[in-house]
Amino acid sequence: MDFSLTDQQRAFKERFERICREHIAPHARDADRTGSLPQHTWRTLSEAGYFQLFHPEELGGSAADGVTLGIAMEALGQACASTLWSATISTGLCGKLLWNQCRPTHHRQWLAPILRGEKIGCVAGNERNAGSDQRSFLTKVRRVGPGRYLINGEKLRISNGPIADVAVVFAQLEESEGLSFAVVDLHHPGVKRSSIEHLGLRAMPWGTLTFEDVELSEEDVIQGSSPDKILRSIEWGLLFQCFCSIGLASAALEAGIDYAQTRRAFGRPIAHLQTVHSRLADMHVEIDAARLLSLEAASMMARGEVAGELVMMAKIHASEMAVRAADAAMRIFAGWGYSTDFVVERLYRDSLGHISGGQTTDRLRELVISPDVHVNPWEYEPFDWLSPAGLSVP
Amino acid sequence: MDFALAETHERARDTACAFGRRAIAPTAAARDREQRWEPGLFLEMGAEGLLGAPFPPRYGGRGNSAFETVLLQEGFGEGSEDAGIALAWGTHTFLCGVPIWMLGTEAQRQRYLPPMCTGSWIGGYAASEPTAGSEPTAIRTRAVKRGDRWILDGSKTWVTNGPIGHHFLVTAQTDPERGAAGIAVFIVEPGFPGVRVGRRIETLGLRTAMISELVFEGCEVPEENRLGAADGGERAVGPLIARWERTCLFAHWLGFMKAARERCTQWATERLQFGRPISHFQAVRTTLVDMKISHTLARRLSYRAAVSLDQMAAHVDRDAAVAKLYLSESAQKTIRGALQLHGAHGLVADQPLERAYRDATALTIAAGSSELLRSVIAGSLLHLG
Repeated sequence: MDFSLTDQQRAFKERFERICREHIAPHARDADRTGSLPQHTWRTLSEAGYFQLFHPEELGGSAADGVTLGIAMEALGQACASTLWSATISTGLCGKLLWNQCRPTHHRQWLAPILRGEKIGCVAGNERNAGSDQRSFLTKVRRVGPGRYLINGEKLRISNGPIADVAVVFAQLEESEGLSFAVVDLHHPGVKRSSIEHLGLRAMPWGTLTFEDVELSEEDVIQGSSPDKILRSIEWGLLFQCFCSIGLASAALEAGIDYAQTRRAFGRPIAHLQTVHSRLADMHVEIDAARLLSLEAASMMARGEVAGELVMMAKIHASEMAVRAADAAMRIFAGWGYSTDFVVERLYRDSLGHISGGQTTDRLRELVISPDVHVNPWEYEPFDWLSPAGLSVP
Repeated sequence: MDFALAETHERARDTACAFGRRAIAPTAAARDREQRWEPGLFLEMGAEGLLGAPFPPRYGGRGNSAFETVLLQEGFGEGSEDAGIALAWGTHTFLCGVPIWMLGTEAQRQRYLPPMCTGSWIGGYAASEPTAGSEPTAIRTRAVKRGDRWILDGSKTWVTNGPIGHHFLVTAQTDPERGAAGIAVFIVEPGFPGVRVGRRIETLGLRTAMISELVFEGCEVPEENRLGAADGGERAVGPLIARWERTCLFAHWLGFMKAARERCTQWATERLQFGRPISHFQAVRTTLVDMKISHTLARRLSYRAAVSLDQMAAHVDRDAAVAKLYLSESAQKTIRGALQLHGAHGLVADQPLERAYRDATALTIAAGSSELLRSVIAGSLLHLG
C-alpha cells in the first residue's frame, strides 16, 4: 500500500499543470460567458498529449497509467471543467467505445484523428423521455437491404452533440436482443442538430441529435455486445466526472483559502474564524477521500479491468461533494461569491452538472446496492404507498 | 501508488477478526452490562500479538508497521463486538507504549515494553485534567525536583485503564514560567507512594473499558522514570501521541462499520414487511449504500494516514487528523443508520448494535474532538501559526 507519485508522474504533473494554468485556465471565464471553447483548445490539448493518454501505443496513444490519467483530468478540470468535458467525452468516452466495441475501420477513420485532436466524438445515449431506463430507448436501426441500414430516432442532452464529427449511438437493432451501437458520421444528410442551453459547463456543447433515415453500412452497426464489455467503456464516462468534480472542488478550496487569508473583518483575516475552518477542513477531507478512491478506480481501468462498483461509488461521492465544496466556497466569499467577477459562482454552476451527468447518483446508488441485497435494479414493483400509511382515498 | 492489499495483510486482518469473534465477542454483552474488566482477555490479546504489534521483537513485539497495526485493529473490530476493550488496547499500546518505545530511555523500554507486550502490565496515559482536555498544556499537576526524586501533586481524569493499569504516562508542569515547554512526562506506577486511583467513572458507552481519575498527593517518582531525555517532555510526546491516536486509536471502527453493514444487509434481505423483504424499499437501500460508500472512503483515508505515519510523510499530522475526523463521523452515521434499519430491534439492550451506538458517541469527543480537528486541518491549509 503506497500513495506516493513516481518521478515520472511528478514530472508529468508539473508539466501538464503548467500547460493548464497558462493556456486553459485564462480562457475559462470567457468560454463560460460565450458558451464556446477557444479555437486553440484542441490543438493545445493535442500537443500536450492529452487525447493520447487514454489509448494504446498501437493507435498512437501513450497508454498512461491510472494515476497519470487522474492527474491530467484533475488538472484540466480545475482549469476549465467545460474543456475537460468536451475533450474527454471525445477521447475518453466516445474513444473508448470506438476502441472496445467498434471495428478497425472505425479506429482508422475516427479514433486516430480524435487522438490527434482533428476530429471530435460524442456518445448519444439519452433520449427525450429516457435516461436511466436504457431499456426503453426508442432509437432504431433497421436493415433495408443487403449491407444497408437506416437509423431513426432522437437523442437529447448529448455532450459535444452540436460540434461532433462522429457519434456512437445507442440503438435498438430490429430483431436483435440487447444494446446495439451505430457509428454515425454526423455530417451525413439526415442528421439534424440543435443546442440545449444549460446552467453550467456552458462552454461544453450540449444538444439534440435527430436521425431521419440516416444511412449506415453493415460495418457501422455493432450488435449486442456483452454487458461487461460495454461497462468497460461506459465507466470512463463516470471516471472523468470524478476527476472533474475533484478539480472543481480543489479550485473551490484554493479560492476559499486565498480569500480567507486576504479578506479582513473585525480587524483580522476571516481565516481566523472557526466556521471558515470548518468549511475548509470538510472540503479538504472530502476531496482527499474522492481522490484516493478515484485514483484506485482509474488504476484498475487503465489496466483494462472493470472497476464496477468502485467507480460508481467514486462518482456518487465526488460529484456530490463537489457541489458541497462549491457551496462552502460561495459561503466563504459571501456577497462576492454571487458576483460573476469571482470564480466561485462558475464552479458552483459547473459542479451541479455532475450529479446527473452520465448516470445520476440516485441511479448509481441503485446499481451499487442492488446486487448486495438481491434486488433487480431494472424492475420496480408496483406498490400501494397510501394504504399502509392510512392515507388511501376510499 | 499501489492500492492492493497483500495477501499476508488480509490474512493478518482476518486472523485478528477470528480471534475477536472467538475470544472477546461471547462475553462482550455481559461485561458491558456488568461494567466488568476481565484480565484474562488482555493476556490472550497479548499472546495473539495484538498488544505489542508495533514494538520491535527484541522488546517482545511483532515489529508491525503502523499500517499493519491498523489492519489488526480493523480485523479485531469486526470480530470482537467490543469497542471498550479495543480502546483499552489502543490506549495501552499507542498512548503509553509508543512514547516509551520512541522517546524512552533504553532502560525504560526494557523494563516496560516486554510485559506490555504480553499484557501482564497494562499501561495508560494520564494527561487530561478537569481543566485541561483539548488544551493539554493547561494542566495544573506540578512536579518538583527534590534530590533524585520528583514530587507530583495534582489529579488526572478520563484515564482509560486507570483502575487496572500497572503504570501511566503522566504529564506534569515542572517549570510554569516556560509554559508548554516546561511540561515533563513521567512513568508513574500506582505502587509508588502518594498515588491514589480515584473513583471509577461510569460512562454512556465503552463500559467494558475501565476509566477513572488518578490523584497524586506528594507522589514520589524516581528520576529514572522521567520519560526519555531532559527535553523528551510534552513538546515531543504531544505531537507523537496526536499522530498515533488519530491514525490508530479508533481504527477498529473500520471493522465495526463492516460488521454493521453485513448485519444490515442480512436483515434487509430477511426482514419481511408488506409481503416482501425490506430491501425492496428504496429508502432502505439508500441507507445501505451510503453506509457502503462511507466505509469504503473511511478505509482508504485511514490506510493513507497509516502509510503517512510509517513514512513520516510531509503531511503526516494533517493526514492523521483527516482520517480520524472522517472515521469518527462516518462510523457514528453508519451505526445510527444500522440502528434505524433494524427498527425497534435496534433498541434492545445486550445486542451488538445498541452497544455499538452507545460506544460510538465517544468517537467525535476523544483523541481530538471534531471541532478541534477541523481547526487543525484548516490551520494546516491556511498556514496559520
